[in-house]
Amino acid sequence: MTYSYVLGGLHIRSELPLGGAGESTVPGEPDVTIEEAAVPRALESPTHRGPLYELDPDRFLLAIDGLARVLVEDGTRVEVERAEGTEDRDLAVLLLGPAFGALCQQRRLLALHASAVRVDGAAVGFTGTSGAGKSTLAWALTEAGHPLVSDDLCIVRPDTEGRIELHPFAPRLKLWGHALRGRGEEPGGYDQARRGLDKYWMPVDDPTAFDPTPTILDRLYLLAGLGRPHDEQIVPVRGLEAMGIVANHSYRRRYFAEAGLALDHLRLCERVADELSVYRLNRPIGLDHLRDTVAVLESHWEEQS
Amino acid sequence: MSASGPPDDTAAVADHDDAGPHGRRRGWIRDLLEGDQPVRRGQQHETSEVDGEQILVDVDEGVLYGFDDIGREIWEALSEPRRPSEIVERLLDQYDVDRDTCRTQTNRFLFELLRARLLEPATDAAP
Repeated sequence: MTYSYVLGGLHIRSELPLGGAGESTVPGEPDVTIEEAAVPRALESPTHRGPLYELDPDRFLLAIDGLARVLVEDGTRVEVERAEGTEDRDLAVLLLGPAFGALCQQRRLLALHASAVRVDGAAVGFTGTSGAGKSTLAWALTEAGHPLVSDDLCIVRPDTEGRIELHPFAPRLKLWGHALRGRGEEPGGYDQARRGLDKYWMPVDDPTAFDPTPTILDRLYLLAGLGRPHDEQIVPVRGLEAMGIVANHSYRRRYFAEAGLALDHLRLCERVADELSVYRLNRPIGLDHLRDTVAVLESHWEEQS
Repeated sequence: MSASGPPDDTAAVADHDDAGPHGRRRGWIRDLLEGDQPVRRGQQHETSEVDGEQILVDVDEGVLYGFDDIGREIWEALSEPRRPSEIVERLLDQYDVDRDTCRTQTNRFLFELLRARLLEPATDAAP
């Protein structure tokens, strides 16, 4: 059995199912193959060796006792050797997480922890620390009529004209159990994002409607809480602060540093931060306030259009 | 005129100069500044520009430093090696500030940049 996916703009051919994330029928040679194979126990001369993985600029070896060993090479090949009893869905977590992060590092791609919806033909991104409410806000925005472009993770890269393309990750929302229950949904009906974690994948209405082609990203909002009183809820940020927001929310950026590529990572962040309009969205935390936040955003977009 | 990392980052700010990876003894930065020894831009420093704002980068630590007007003035002045006292004189010419405050703040700024190796001693006989 072979599965095809488009994730973050990468065409992936896999012997393993990745939990229905971005399945595709797009023909052509894949950028990345995922196969089950014997995986070595160590790399020859890694630039970094940690408790769970080791890496150099072109190789990444993840070894989790009792679960699996995963080797990612040259940004094109992923090999998986599973331990006895390891299920496909456990492997999917490793493949979509650390292995995908390693592919991005090896390909010098910037993966941003962000959800995005479409507004006036372009993508608007929302970033923030885990638990800041990226997916929940994206959900509320889709219900207000703004189509979901990507959830949780996306690849951002300049096109030939220097505009930033957002390559989406998956047509589904990764939501906390309490967010689902708060909106009257039962999490039991959805796939768990990871065993033991109260977080679930909620497919969008029609998964086949997922469009893997890139969308121009022109605005990025950092989801902040109302830690102190502010007059405006949406505050434009520039320069150092904009750069910090992009750099701090890039996915698995430590792999770049550990591979000796911190400067490459920085140059990627610089181009993205320089091109995008970046804002801090100060808003009250809590599901009760979601509707107000959507209204604030919509009036902001109204003013700008 | 302080250098600052992005608010979300954990810019390690120590209240002493540690010996660091280049094996200098503790306290060398303070000695350098108190001795008014010349400093220059580090060989390894990297800059970045976002929205027209210059950003200095400590690549090893992944820390970004932004400049306010005075910080930028100091960095521009350091396009060639300068003694801290020369920089202070230059700032006193342009800003309405008393000498002690200016010296204290300038040294604090230089201290941070030296610790991040964005500046280095301009004398080869560095301690």
